[in-house]
Amino acid sequence: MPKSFISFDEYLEKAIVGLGKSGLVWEGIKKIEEINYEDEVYDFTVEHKDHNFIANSFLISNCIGGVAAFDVENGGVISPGGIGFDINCGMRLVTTNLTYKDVKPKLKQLVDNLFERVPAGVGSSGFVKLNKQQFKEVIEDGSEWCVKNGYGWDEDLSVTEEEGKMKGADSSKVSSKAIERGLNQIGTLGSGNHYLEIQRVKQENIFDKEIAKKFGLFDDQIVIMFHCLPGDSRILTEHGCWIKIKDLENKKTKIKCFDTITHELLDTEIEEFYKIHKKEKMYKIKTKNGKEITATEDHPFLTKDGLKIIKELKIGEKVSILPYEGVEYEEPSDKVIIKEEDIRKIHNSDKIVNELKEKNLLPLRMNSWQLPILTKLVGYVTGDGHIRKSGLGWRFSVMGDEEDLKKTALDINKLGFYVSKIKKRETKGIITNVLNKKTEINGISNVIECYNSLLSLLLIALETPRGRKTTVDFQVPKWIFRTPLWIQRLYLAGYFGAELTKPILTKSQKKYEYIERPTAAVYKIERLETSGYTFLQQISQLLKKFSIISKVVEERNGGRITNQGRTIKLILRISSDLENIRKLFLKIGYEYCKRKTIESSHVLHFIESKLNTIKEKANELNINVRALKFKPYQYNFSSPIFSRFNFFKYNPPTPVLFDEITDIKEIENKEQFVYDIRIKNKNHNFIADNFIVGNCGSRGGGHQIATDYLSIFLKVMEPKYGIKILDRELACAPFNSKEGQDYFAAMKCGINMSYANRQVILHRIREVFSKVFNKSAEDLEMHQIYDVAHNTAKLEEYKIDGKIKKLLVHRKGSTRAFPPGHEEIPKKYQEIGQPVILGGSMESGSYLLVGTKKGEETFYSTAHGSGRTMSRMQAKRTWRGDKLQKDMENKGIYVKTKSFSGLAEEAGGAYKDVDEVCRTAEEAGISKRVLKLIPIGNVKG
Amino acid sequence: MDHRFYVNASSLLILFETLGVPRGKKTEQKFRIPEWIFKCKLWQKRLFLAALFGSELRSLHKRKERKHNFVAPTFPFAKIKELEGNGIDYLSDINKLLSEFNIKTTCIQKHRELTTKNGKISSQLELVISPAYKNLINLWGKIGFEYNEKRSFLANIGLQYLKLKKEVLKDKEKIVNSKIFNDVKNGAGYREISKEINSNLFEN
Repeated sequence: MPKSFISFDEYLEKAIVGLGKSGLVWEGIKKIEEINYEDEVYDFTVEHKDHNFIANSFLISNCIGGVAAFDVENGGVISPGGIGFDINCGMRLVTTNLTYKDVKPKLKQLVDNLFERVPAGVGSSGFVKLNKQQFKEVIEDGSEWCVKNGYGWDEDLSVTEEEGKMKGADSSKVSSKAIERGLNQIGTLGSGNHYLEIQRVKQENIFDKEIAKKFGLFDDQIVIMFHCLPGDSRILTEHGCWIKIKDLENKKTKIKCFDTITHELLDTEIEEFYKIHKKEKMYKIKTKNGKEITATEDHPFLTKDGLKIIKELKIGEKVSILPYEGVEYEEPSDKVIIKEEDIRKIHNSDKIVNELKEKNLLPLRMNSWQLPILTKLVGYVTGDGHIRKSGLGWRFSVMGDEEDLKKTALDINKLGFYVSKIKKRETKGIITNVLNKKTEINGISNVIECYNSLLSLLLIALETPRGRKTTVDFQVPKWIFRTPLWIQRLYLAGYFGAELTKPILTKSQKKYEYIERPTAAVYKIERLETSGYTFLQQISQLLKKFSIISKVVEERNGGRITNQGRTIKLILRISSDLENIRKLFLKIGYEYCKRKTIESSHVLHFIESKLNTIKEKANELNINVRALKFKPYQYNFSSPIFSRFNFFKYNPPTPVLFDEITDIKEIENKEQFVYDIRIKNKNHNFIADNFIVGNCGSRGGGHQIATDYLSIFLKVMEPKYGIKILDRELACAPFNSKEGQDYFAAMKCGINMSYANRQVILHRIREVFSKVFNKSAEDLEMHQIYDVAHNTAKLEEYKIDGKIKKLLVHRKGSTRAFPPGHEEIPKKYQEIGQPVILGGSMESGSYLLVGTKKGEETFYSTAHGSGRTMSRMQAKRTWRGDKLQKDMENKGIYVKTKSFSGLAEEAGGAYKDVDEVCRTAEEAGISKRVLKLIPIGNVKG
Repeated sequence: MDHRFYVNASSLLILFETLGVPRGKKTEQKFRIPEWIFKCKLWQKRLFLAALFGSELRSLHKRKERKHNFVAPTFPFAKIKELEGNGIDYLSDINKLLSEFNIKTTCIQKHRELTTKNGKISSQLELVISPAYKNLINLWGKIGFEYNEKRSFLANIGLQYLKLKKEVLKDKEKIVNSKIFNDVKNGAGYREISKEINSNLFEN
């Protein structure tokens, strides 16, 4: 080998930069050549969000945006997922006769005016107010309706794809929900990468002067392109405490969501956080049990018939609620709870200390992420667990119901430890009480064991009792008293999950039903009576912090005779006052015990209902609530009874229940911002102010059409048409089937709506320009160049294997690009080909291209934009919106936005290099560059 | 530090044993590569070998004195003296499997014998895989390592490095074939020719 050949060490250093320990390496491309290939080609989409796989040792990306054509006469299908959910997406380019010199002094005024006049942002409502009938006309006639009603010029229609109206749109195929969501959106920019941009033509950026001239574009010309819960809501998080939604920004906390199929409450990560400028209309919903929530009009709630937005909710309708509320989250301090010495005191071993350090469990701080889980475990093990020495090490076991043990095991796994599988143990024995009465016990208990000494030692260091609990002295861990309330709740809920009785309903002799006070018992040998008493007193003290009243008593003759001697029974009694029990279940509840959690939730629901009824009755009679219990009122009021209490619950039962809406009120929003989150879980809901609410959707109407038909297709696809798919997002139906045709007609409505939307925005832009420049739009020569939709399916004819075939071309995130001479493009452009507008990012500008003959290979489709290089979340972590705005202003781009985080998502660096994308598209022969446009002003949705 | 986990399921253990996994001390009992492995498809054989190598085959090491070459990968195997024959058979089995992937081994080495804790003498055997670069490309490119991220990572990088080396050698061969004949004819010395080839190589 030549001496200059790179050594392995050097190679190792250079070849893996940025690739980590994946085993991938960078390799330079030596040669690209075109070859003749006549066989079929293949591709697939993978489920992972990174969308790539390995082929011939190359890491390649699978197609995301793309084109798929189906032969409709031979069973071809139509798929909402193949078209994309954002049917409303598209682009329009308009020229002016102004130059950069004219615009520069008035740029700020112009952008500010546009920002004010064209509503933008998630869920914004447009300036065109329509009733339902008018809206139906709009989605059937598209831009035509707008021009007829004075929103534009006749010539605009000729330079819009399909002349601004897809024929065959049928509004009866669009669900009322989709219509509701779309109703106020005509004339809005939306959010995400929907924007309105003032751009500048530069001589050096014109690639084809002749075509540019035909478009009427010249050096330095200015063109315009556009692309189309209040803060105090309490969100329930993974550890059973709530955080105000506005404080969730930049927090890694997981939140609870409700699985609508298994009816479980799951923990999920937050994918995106939205902070949106004030909306005028807010609604306050009240339920029969007095739960209240405020939300914007388009916020969805989980009802018996799935998610519904507030506007569709009626009084008397049932919405899902979780009666449990929890306590407020508080940021814990970073005080150390367990130091190295604490572990060494129990077991002096370097190995154990090092391993604990490796697992980030030493030193354990108040704000360690593991502490909440450990606290729950300490609580539960104090009740139904056992730590003991075995051989040289320590081990501990936990008892409980099978399902709950699985959950406990999962939590232990989260800490980085393993447990045995669930073992069934037969328990047999005879208990003798102090009166010498013998009771036989017989049963099977479930146990899991953790053989890892580390975790046992950690629990011991956290002051969990070890050995036989009747014979050792233990107290509530001292550190618990120093933690925030929500961690104290975890300890109590863990202990109660093991020891506190479930809510029991008893009938007294008078046949009066009441809820028994929950109790927790501790058995101690006689000499340790004080120890047991202090422990329960401490629990009682903790409960006091939640304003729950309880007391500790000794049960007479409750003790037992064991081989350790006589024991006594101490009991913690929680006051049976309804308000008191309500607080217990509302704020603390049970952990690691599903059975008790569900029952307590039902009882809590009942108690709330009962308290409400009593209050109402007292109000009606104009007396004190307590007076209802006594003569003469006691006879004309019968208190509600649980066994006769009708409430709607899920089957199988869960803590989530249904409550009736009693009041929906429109209120004025006084806050500056409203918030929303999107979660990573497919259930897309979370718990805010006890209500199960849906997380935010994207652009209303069009999205709803796709969602509606996706669920219709999923139902019929396999049983009726025998189509199997891997990814539910790709649900489809044969084009010629009833479902397929219905969707096609509905999708056309969505596209027409998008044409109409961009048409009215154009109208607004013309108004703003003529106001700022004191000239009419005609004098400013504000002609539209073209308008294209981005996510469509269209019937087009192509020659396949020598035969002309009718194909349904799905274009998802791609643009139609017909070549010169194609009959479906405007006469004006017959010679040059269909204009294609390709958007880059806000910072890099965009391109004007034209279609080519070679584009037939891709069914005359080309890219619709430069495409992201990183997710929105990652972009938000990388850039700050306000700084970006300043940076862009320094570069000569004036930006106005509704949300800074939204702006950061769209930073130039988050997108691929638009120059490179367009060059590639031209080299591939699917479109031809005409010129590049440089942004100078931007209104971001 | 050594990490391990325990599997308590007896069912899995019995399944493994039926599949031919030795139970107990491996050095003190007879076992061979299960026969069913030989009847499997090549990709299934790869899975077996890759996982075996993940635990036992030595990782990649570059040679100290020659920075472009790698040390021959070895597969160590210990058996008590009485069962040495069985150990050699086992390594031959591996050799047989490797030959199906066109991977050559050079020999089975014997190292100094050791005495175990309970006083038994154990022979230290070692299967040596040929360190020729084409052979290593086959080894790391076709089999690689499973359940061993570190070795798998190094093997991947090493593989790409050797492919790069292969390309350079190929180019060199081309130049040699096209030029050397004329150079020799013109009476050029060994050093001149070598210099020219190397300079040509890196011009490309």
